[in-house]
Amino acid sequence: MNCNYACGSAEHNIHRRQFLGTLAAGTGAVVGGLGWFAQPAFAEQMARQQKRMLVINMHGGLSQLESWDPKPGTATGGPFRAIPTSVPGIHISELLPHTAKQMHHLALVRSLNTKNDDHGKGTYMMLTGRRQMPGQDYPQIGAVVSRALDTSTRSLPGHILITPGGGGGRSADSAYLGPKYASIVLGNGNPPQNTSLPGGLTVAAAAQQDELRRLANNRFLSRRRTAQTDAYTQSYEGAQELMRQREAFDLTKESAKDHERYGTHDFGRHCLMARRLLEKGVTFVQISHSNYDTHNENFNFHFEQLGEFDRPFATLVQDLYDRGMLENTLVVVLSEFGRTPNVNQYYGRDHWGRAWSVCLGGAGIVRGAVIGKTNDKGTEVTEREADAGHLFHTYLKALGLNSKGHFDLGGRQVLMADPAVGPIKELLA
Amino acid sequence: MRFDRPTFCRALSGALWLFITAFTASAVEPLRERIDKTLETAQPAPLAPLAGDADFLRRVLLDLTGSIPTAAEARAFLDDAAPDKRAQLIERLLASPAHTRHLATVFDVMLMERRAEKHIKTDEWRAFLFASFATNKPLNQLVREILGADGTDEKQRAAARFYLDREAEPHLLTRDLGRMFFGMDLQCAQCHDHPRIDDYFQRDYHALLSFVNRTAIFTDEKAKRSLLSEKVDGDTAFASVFTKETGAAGPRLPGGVPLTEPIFAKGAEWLVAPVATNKALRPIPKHSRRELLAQHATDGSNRAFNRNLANRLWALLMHRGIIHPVDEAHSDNPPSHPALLDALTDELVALKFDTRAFLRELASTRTYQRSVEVSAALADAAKSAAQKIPTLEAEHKRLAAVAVQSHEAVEKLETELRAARKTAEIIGAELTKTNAAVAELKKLSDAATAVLAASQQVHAAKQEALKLVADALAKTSEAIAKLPEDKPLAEAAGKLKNRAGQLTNEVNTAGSDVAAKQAVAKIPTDKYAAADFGAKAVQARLDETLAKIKTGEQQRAAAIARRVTERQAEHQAKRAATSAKALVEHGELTTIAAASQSLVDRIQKDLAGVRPIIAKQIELTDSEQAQSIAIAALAEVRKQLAAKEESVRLVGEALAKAELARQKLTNDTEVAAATTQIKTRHTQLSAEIAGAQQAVATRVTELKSVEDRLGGAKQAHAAIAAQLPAAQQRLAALEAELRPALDKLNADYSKLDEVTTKLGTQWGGGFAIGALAPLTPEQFGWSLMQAAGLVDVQRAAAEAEFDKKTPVDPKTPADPARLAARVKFTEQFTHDKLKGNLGQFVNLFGGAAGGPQDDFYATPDQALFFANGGVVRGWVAPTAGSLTDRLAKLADAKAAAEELYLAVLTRRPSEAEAAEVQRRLAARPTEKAAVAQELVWALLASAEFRFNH
Repeated sequence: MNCNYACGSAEHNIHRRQFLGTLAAGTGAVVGGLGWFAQPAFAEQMARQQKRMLVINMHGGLSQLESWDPKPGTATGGPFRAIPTSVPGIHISELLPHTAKQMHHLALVRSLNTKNDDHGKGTYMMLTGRRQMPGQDYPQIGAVVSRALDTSTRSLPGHILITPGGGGGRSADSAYLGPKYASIVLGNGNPPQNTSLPGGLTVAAAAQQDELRRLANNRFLSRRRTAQTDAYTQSYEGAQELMRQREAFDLTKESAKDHERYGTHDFGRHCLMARRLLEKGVTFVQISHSNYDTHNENFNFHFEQLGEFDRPFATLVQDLYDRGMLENTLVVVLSEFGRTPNVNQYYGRDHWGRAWSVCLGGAGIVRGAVIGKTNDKGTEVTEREADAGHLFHTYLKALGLNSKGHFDLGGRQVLMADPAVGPIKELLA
Repeated sequence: MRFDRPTFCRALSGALWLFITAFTASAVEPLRERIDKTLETAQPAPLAPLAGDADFLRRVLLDLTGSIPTAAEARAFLDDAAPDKRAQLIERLLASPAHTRHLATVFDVMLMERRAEKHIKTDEWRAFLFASFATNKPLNQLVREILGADGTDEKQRAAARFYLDREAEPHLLTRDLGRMFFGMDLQCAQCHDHPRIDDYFQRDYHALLSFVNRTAIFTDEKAKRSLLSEKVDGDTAFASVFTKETGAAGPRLPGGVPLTEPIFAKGAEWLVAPVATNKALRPIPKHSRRELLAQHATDGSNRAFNRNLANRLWALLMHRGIIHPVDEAHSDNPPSHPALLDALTDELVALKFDTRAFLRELASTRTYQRSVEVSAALADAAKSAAQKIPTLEAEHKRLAAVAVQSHEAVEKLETELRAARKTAEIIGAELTKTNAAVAELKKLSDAATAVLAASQQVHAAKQEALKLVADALAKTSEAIAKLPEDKPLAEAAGKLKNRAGQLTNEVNTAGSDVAAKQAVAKIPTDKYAAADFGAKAVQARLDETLAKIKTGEQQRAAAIARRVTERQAEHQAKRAATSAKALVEHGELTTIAAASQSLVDRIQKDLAGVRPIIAKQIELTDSEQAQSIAIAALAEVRKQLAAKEESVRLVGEALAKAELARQKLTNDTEVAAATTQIKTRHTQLSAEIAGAQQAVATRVTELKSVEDRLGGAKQAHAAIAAQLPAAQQRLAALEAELRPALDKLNADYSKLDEVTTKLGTQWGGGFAIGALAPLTPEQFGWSLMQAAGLVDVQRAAAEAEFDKKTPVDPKTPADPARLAARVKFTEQFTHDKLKGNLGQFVNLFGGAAGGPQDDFYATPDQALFFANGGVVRGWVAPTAGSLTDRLAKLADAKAAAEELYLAVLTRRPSEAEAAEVQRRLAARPTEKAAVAQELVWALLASAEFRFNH
């Protein structure tokens, strides 16, 4: 539209640039939509209040009996003892001595019955809160949370997956919520793809071409603007901001002492990276620890694996608490299922979805709570049965969201969580 | 454009009128005219003017061929003076292989949603679509082939991809059949009636499901291929997880009636019956429900199917469905222009689903060719809108109430139906129970009746025997009367008499038995008769209830239809009211912004008045400063001159002494050499003095001129000295006033911008303004390759190869058949060479596989890929044949600017834009390629390139 105000005056140009949330040319100062990053006090305040979530996926199926719901001295209990925790009355496996000291920050659900013994379906269910149904695809918790808690001011990706290997890039885990909320994968903790200037492109040339791009946009957008054109121009500013904030992915910026506290193995480094990212304001981080699929030698493997898991996890919980972040950060340790009470002939335990546990804490979760019970041998849930759908609602509620609410996707209304179930109310503070 | 359209009221209450005009006119007017008339009459606001040639060219190329044109094509079209060049272009494009390719891509993405390749090769599926559109296969036939395919026909095997690559999963198929072919996403009605949409019922979902729930994948081990097989049984029964109500459904299309199916005797349902021991044998039923679907959906009789295709083709060009989103057809999301959608639907059927003919009509409308810019002439519209708002709001309120009433009517009927069904269920149960009891009583009654009948039979037999004996006795007695002496006769008569006596006794006994049995049988038969009477009454009650249900269902269907219509009316009224309010808001904001603008203008004008006075003061200060600088500069050069003179004096003295020495020591060559050296130096220094003197002279002149200027400034200053303090005060005051005025102006423009954007969205929804739509990942990828020069390179290679294989016949140099073959070959060659580049665009810019692909995503990782990734950087590098290379080689910067803008943005640059390009190229003359690369990248990354406008 050739409005009378598109007079080309300098004032107007500045106005338009500000309005588009872009950068004032040449000065390097951040204005408009990204402004709060430039204001430390505001940024700090926002960072403290911002809700976040961390998922630790115990890949392969963590044994509830060697972790959150030990049954020592029974036919199914295995060789390990149960130890007291910082919450009187709660005992967990002796394989988790450091975690036991953090129990007052955490809670347990010991009555999961997900009725599923398949790795793929179990993972799907635990991460989407729905049973896998043909013809239907639901977004994972990371996408849901990152969309529901999206702040347009955010410049780092809202949904990050740290994987032990792999190249990085974007995953397809956001279903109908779209690529914006799909996880950005940090393969082995490396920064996201294309966040550094390629060889042959100098800083000066990059600045030149970007200035030209903005000029071209300003001219075109004076004809007509839409939410989509705004989103497009904004994506370039987001990219620039991400490049400026590339340091957020640089673990060498953490102190040697912290590296020592978390351990130098992958899981320890990933926990430290998770802390760093959450601190930088990333809404959702998922890391994994592999592998708990102990059909053979269940006890030896759990001894080794949990030995690696225990200290960095406990350190992370303590650090989040010390930094005042735990009250706004939901931490969940989950698996696709638990393991059979019955010990097979190879001293292994097999897939088991009928009576198992998850550990969670932080944000709106009641500290030191234990929900539900299994029988003496751990073969059945005897109290307060729950499944993945209830947990999904609980996560959302703990983050201050209305889990019965819906997303409006360009005219399509989609429920956030399975309408057939609700949250575990006793878990919510 | 002036706002001379009919008033809002007419546009609104004229829905019916429009409907009538559309229909009475339809017999004579082509569709394109009807479209424009409908939409131009319906608008509550000024329509956007037609887009310029450049916008039109780019838009129609993208929409019909999936890519922007080349710079050469753009130049040719823009310079073409033919008045009908747009119509010519549309014809040319519709006939091009690029259009065929684009339709194949559009339908591939629409039907497969970028699903991974599984049982059918993606390339074969795309080739099937390409071949279908190349022959302009009617769209309903194409769908019939897809829905009827089972994978066995090798020639048409790819058509089965819709089913096969969804693993023939019934629920997945049901969701996608509903969305893609009927425009209804019934997914949420799988387990219960849709929680948010009143018109999507669980029974509809299951009716659609029943077409495919007997289908499965059959693996043909021998031929190593997957086929579809179908069972002859398996109906869909369902129970709502919310209400626990149950139901069952047979095959029925959305909006259709239950379809009747042939009934076969058990065992006779198969063409090829399954053999338990032969797993390699694919059973084939006589009756296929997929066939049923393929036939009934596509035979032109299903309104939802026809409407969905019309709406989707409309959205392909207009970038927005009349029902939008295109798979959300229901009463809460009514068509924006119901009569228009009806007309389009009828026309598509009348055109026998000819895609090209239909698209030709759409592309030829003024509606399609409107500019994306919100018309500037809003003030009048705002004024008339303000007066209409109360009427419009009242009308909306009234229609909203009507819609609520009609919704309540549906709910009431639904409740009554539910109750009637419950009643029928209860009566049905009662009838079953009663019938069972009746059957029991009938058994007893029948048994007693049988006993009675046996007794009666005995009685009758005895009576018969008695009668015979009595007759015989009578005849015998007659004979005896004639022959009284006949002894044997008398003996016989005696026997007969005896026997008759016996029989009489027996008849009497049997008679009493019958009487006794009659008495016994009376109780069960009476009971049975009574019970049977009761059962008939229950049956009658059931029949009555079932009839009531049937009527209720008809009433509900009618009520739902009424709700659809009334909600449509409500939505239209709401849109009209919202639009009018936004217009008024725009008008108000324009007034406010204009006031702010005039305030700023006034301040700036005042500033302009004060500034000459202040300028005198500034000039004085500047001149004084200049004077002191000039004085200092003069002092400096004088100092340098003095130093030089001192040097010359000293060296001169040395020279005199050396000269003296040389004269005394005539043979001393060293002294002679030294003397020569000193002399040379003296000469040099003397010459430098001349330079220094010159410098002093210059500075003196400069000082003189500065002093003259100062003199003038002093004079001027003296003249305004009296006004100065006041002027300075005024300046400070004006500057203080300007800052907040500018802030306010900026804020006003921001608000105005926002409401303009809102208006753009609203009018875009009403097709009063051209669509500003993002390119699809495919359009984006192909257009990038076109602009950057990759397509040109391949096209040239293709043409060379074709010309080599099929040289021009000198007798018929312009053989049209050869030229068409050449174009076809070139398109295929170029496509095959470059299609591999698309994958990364699709992955990064498209939606998740298997979900809607019409959403727009703009994410930082896309921007990072575009800015830093190797692919785009490679394309904008100055490699042979690339646009960057072409630009770097152009000697004339103005020509380079034109080539750049035509190649990337399909338009010529404005003067400012051309100057900018020239300035940048001139600033770094040794780095032309680098500058060109920056320019190319910047325009490719611009919103103007990313969007279709």
